[in-house]
Amino acid sequence: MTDVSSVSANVSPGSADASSVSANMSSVSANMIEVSGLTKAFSGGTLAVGGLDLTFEAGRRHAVIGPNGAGKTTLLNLIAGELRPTAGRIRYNGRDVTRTSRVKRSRLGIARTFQQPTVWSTLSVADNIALAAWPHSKVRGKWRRGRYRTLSEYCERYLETAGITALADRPAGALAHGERRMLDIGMALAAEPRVLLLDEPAAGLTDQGVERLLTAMRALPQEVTVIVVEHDFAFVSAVADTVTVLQDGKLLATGTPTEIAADAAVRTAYLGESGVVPDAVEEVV
Amino acid sequence: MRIPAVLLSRPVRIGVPGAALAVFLLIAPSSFDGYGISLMSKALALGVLAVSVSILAGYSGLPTMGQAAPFLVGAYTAGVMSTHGHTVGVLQLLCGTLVAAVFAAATGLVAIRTRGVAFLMTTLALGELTVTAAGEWRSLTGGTDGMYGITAIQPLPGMAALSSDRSIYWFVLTATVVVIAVVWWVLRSPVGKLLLACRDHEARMRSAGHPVTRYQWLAYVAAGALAGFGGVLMCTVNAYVSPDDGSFSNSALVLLAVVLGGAISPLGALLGAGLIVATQDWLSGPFPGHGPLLLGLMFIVAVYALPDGVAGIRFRVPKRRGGPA
Ligand SMILES: Nc1ncnc2c1ncn2[C@@H]1O[C@H](COP(=O)(O)OP(=O)(O)O)[C@@H](O)[C@H]1O
Ligand SMILES: [Mg+2]
Repeated sequence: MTDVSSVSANVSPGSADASSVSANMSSVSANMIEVSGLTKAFSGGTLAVGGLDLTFEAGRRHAVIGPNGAGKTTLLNLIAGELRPTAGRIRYNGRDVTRTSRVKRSRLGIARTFQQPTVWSTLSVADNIALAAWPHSKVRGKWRRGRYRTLSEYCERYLETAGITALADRPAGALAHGERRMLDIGMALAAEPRVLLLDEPAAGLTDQGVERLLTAMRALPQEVTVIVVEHDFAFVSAVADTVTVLQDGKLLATGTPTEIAADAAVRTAYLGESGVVPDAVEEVV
Repeated sequence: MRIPAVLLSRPVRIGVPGAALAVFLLIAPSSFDGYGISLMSKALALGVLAVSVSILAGYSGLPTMGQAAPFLVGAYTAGVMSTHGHTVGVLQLLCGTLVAAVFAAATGLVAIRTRGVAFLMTTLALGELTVTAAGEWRSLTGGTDGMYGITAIQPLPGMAALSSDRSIYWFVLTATVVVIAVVWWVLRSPVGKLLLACRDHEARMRSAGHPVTRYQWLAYVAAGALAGFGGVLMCTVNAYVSPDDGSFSNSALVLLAVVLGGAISPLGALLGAGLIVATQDWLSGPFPGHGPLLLGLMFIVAVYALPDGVAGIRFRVPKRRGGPA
């Protein structure tokens, strides 16, 4: 468990509200994200998330797994503020953010990537990163050319981390799928978040891309809380220290990767979907 | 349509039409009569309006049908100033721009809440309301008869009044060049990137923490101010303002100009406006009374045959990829 006081000391220089962060931290529990009774019913009648009670502790690497349609993406959308819950509450760092807009949540330090990598296609890769960093950077007057250049130079490190330096001047719309995925991840990192939500970040990446992603995730500051949705159990056990299993919008199990791999209920849930994933689970056991 | 890469490179794409336009604007007046020259002045004023539409429709992804409203506000501001003896052109431009900006700031609060077709309809309604208000507010605007007795302006205090179509043209051209240069400079700055990103993927901008609504409101206000500037120029050219200047057909014409010219190109918007004035006034000679029909045909041809616009700059918004699954 991360020492709480070290979190406030380590807040990155680019973070938008370092002072309020340190003020909050002293009075707050170690639960960075806490959802209670969280429910999302779509208009078609689908209950995507059905009364979840979950906590994501600060500074840990959490994985959320489950079969297709289990509600993983919906859970991330609810935490990021992309969707409004039908019922239930979401607390972030001790503060109720259930009604807080996604813009505000982003500014408070929640960043995310998308299952379908989402970028600004007419702008260059470098501009994508710089615009993602923009709301979180302390550089003043970024609408001025010189200041924007300062920001862009600072952001070169994220191009590097994501391994897309060579693509910096390409329009983002011209990228291949895997490259766009890495850009999406680079954009989330550029926000210098306190909570990083990754939706199937390894999907569609080459082995080299996955390696780079693993390196980037290990290089994250220790105090960053990560919630990663992923199908590949090998990847999950490589990055996560706790695993939460969802099925039909409900909590099925939670524990360390080893515990989860051995869990009978989880095996059944996966077996119900396909025979591929249990193999991956078995390898880990 | 396949176009060689050289022709699409930036210097060629912008330099060639830009140079051609500059040469035409500088040389043409010497071979035109007064009517032709005042048509060119009109095209410039309409061109400024077209650029304001391209800021919204092209850069910000907000297809507006109501930009003729702030245009009208600017024109009336100039008219009222003239009839009250304030005839300094630069001062009229400043005041017209400012009043139109305030007008857009207020109407923008309503319009920016909507998107897509709803935005189109809201701006259309706001435009029509403005035209109606201009027709009803007789004491200020002269009602539907329009505003007569607008005296010639002097560009700067102490200068002689502009008495000929030619001198008015040079004033309008100078003002247009200055304001388009400013727009160009702003759109090529990080501000332009913000707007393009909002247009590319608004939801992603919000997820990244950008206050998109505020950006778009500011773009709406800036575009309104620019339209007001164009309105002042129109008043100067015509020495007359009526609610017709803000009519639906004017708004639609200008949107057509922007489509013809390539939605994110200020240069293209200017060229499109020129094309429209030319079609409307010159082609209606051989085809009397069929102006609107011709313009309608042009619109259809433009959208189907020239998705990239006359100036070769992309009009169709790139397809959105992804979004939360
Ligand atoms: N916008 C939406 N409208 C209606 N139903 C949705 C929507 N998004 C997701 N769903 C449904 O909610 C369920 C959970 O989806 P999702 O959260 O994407 O699952 P996962 O990411 O675990 O595969 C699915 O049955 C899906 O069809
Ligand atoms: Mg999903």
